[in-house]
Amino acid sequence: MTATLERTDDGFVRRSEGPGVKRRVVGAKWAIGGVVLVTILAFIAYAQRADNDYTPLSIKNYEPGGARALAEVAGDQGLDMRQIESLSDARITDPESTTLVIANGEALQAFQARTILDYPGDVVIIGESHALLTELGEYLWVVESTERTLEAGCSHVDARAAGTVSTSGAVIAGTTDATARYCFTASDNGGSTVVFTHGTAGGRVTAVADPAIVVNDTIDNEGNAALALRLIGKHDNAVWYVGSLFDTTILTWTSPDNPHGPAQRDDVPASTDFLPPGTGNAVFALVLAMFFVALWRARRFGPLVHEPLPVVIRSSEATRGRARLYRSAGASGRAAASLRASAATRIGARIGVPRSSGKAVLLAATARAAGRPVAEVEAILYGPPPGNESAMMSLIEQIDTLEREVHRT
Amino acid sequence: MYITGWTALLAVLGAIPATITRSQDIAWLWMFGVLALAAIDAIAAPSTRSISVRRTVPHSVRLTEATQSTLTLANTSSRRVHGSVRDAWPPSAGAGKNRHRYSLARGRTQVFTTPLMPTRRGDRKAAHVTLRMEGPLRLAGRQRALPVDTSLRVLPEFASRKHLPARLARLRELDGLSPILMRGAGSEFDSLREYVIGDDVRTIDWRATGRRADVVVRTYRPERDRRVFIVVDTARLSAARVGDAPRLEASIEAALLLSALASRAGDRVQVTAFDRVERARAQGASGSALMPVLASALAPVEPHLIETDWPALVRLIGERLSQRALVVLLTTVDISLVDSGALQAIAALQRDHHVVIASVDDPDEGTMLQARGDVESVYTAAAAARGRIEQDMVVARIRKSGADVVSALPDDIAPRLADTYLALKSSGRL
Repeated sequence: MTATLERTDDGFVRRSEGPGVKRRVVGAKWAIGGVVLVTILAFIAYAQRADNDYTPLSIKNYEPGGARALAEVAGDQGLDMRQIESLSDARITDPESTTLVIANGEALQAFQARTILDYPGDVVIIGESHALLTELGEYLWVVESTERTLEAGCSHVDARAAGTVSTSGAVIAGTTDATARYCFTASDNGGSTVVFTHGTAGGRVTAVADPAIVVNDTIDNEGNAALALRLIGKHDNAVWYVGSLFDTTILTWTSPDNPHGPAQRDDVPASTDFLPPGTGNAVFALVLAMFFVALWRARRFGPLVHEPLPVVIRSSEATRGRARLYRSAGASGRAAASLRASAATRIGARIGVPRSSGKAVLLAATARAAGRPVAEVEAILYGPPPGNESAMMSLIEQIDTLEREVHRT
Repeated sequence: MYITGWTALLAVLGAIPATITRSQDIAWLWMFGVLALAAIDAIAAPSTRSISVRRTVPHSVRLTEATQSTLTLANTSSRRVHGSVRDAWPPSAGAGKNRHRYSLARGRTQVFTTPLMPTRRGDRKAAHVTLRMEGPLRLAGRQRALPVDTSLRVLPEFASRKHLPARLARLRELDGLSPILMRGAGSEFDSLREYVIGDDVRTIDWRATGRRADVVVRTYRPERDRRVFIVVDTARLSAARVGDAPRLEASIEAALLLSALASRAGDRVQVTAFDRVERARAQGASGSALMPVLASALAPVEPHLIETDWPALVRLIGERLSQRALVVLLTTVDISLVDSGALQAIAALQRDHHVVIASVDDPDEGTMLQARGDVESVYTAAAAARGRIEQDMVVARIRKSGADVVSALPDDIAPRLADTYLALKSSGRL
């Protein structure tokens, strides 16, 4: 910001008095109001911030792809639901009364899948999880069906209670052991939406092929809600796992053969990486601090100084432009004429023939100096114009040779 | 308003509590705290009105010579103030370290110098003096740029002055002052002296010899008190670059050398810079007073991208000169002189005066003329040859009207013009 000046003694100047604080505040009332408004909005946004996330199938996500509706209703019905982002965070102390829901198991690997199937309590698998289905039965995989509304078609109590479900078409094909029951079977390819079976430790395992049963968008269609609530609400507690690629941990729980079990939930937070705890927060603080660093570096020490620059066109540009014109027009004749004339002038100056003395005198003197026949010199200096560029190039060669011969003498 | 590096450092230190508490909220709180502290510090900083500034520079400096800008700060408030100040100059002023830290007790002054090494001729106008007043916590402060008017006149380098001693020696020979055995050249009668062996017998004054017992010869010296009128053309062709600088720079160098030489030879020199109007003028001064006046007058001259008004120049010279003079036109000889009316103007001037046209050649043209190898370079050589032929044609037409033409490369034009002047003087054609 530049200022107006007032003169003091001895050639000193200083900033003249400004308009005063009150005038300045009144003048900047819109700016001040804007800053206050933005601050209030920022605080509101900050207060609202923790309530939502955007992870698909998260029980905090109220987008169409989230599972918040299910979690809210189940919570109202007295179910204690907890979401985990890493398997080691599960720390289930009472497997008998805790349902484990693998909501998004696509990134799970075989060793993780095995620990999940070892879980003695109930397990619900939602959506496609290649590792889990492969561990569950050799020929289980998810395929597409054209049917969107499926009848229970089996005697399982949960399936019968739901009656009909509405899906987006994913079904599980193949079979597992003999005790498994296949419900909501599609007639076109024989795949089932829900497979009831058992894990390696005897826990009930329910595989739901299609997340459409639980997501906010489609949970209220047909019997989806009934099926979902019955599957996760068998016991008082449910642990809802939303996986990610970064999770390489295995499931933890306390069981009779391992009475000590994992550490208590609040003791040491499980970490999915190898960085010291708090590193993420430190990085976050440093990112915020970048704002100050940017302010510090960006503030210029006074306005930019402009330099009145001189013209930077070279004098030879005009000549180069003319050369380009010759080139684009293919003016080999005119170019050769210029070079011939300038060569003749130089030769004349060299052997002392004034320009006014005429062509014949110059030719005779040049021929004598170069030791060549007059006709040859005439062909070089006054011959017909070259028809093309290669003729011009060879003519230039001859002119240069002639000039060298004359200069040698 | 500005913040210091301490504020940034303080903000970065916020990583420590954020790590210990593992909370992003603490990080946010810390940053807002730092922001609040910086704001308080900026409000608590003294007003930029607390300091009065005076900037002084020498009136003029010759190009390539170092000088300095002196900045005096006076604390007129009732408290101690500290902070920093920037003495901003455009890049061509070649300012060195121009940021200074100050700490001033009440009523005290402090002097800072910024070294300057101008890289271009002309009036170098200084930019703002920017004051930063630091707050008590040194986290933030107030900043204000004061548009203090200061201007430094950078005079032409006059690099051609190295050619002056040799030309002055030649001039002394012409005057007959040098201790060599020859009569003074020129045509103006100087004095009579006794014949010594070696003198030209044609200079014997028989009448004087008859009056005295000895043989007496006449000595001559070049005419003195002639008028030399130098015109520096500042139109579009003077803007083009030849070598590293605009053509005008070479013209000014030549004008300075010729003026220095002519004023020592006892001639009266006038210089004007002209395109459509007169851009600068130096006249009336003589002897040692001439060169400073001339350098100062030519210092702010810049090329203008317009065509020279030749008839107006003829009228101007007609007004300024009442008797026969040497008119030197420092311009560019090329084909455009034919249809711009320059040839007619030169012919008109030549009727009353003796005209010398000095033209600065482009060193690139010589290399372009030699270009061979591929079709493109041959076309370039042809274009350069065509330009040279056209220039020769214009030179021939100028010479036909009786005027002299001197054309040389930028570094050679000043000595060549000086030699032409000496040749004219010794042959009595002034």
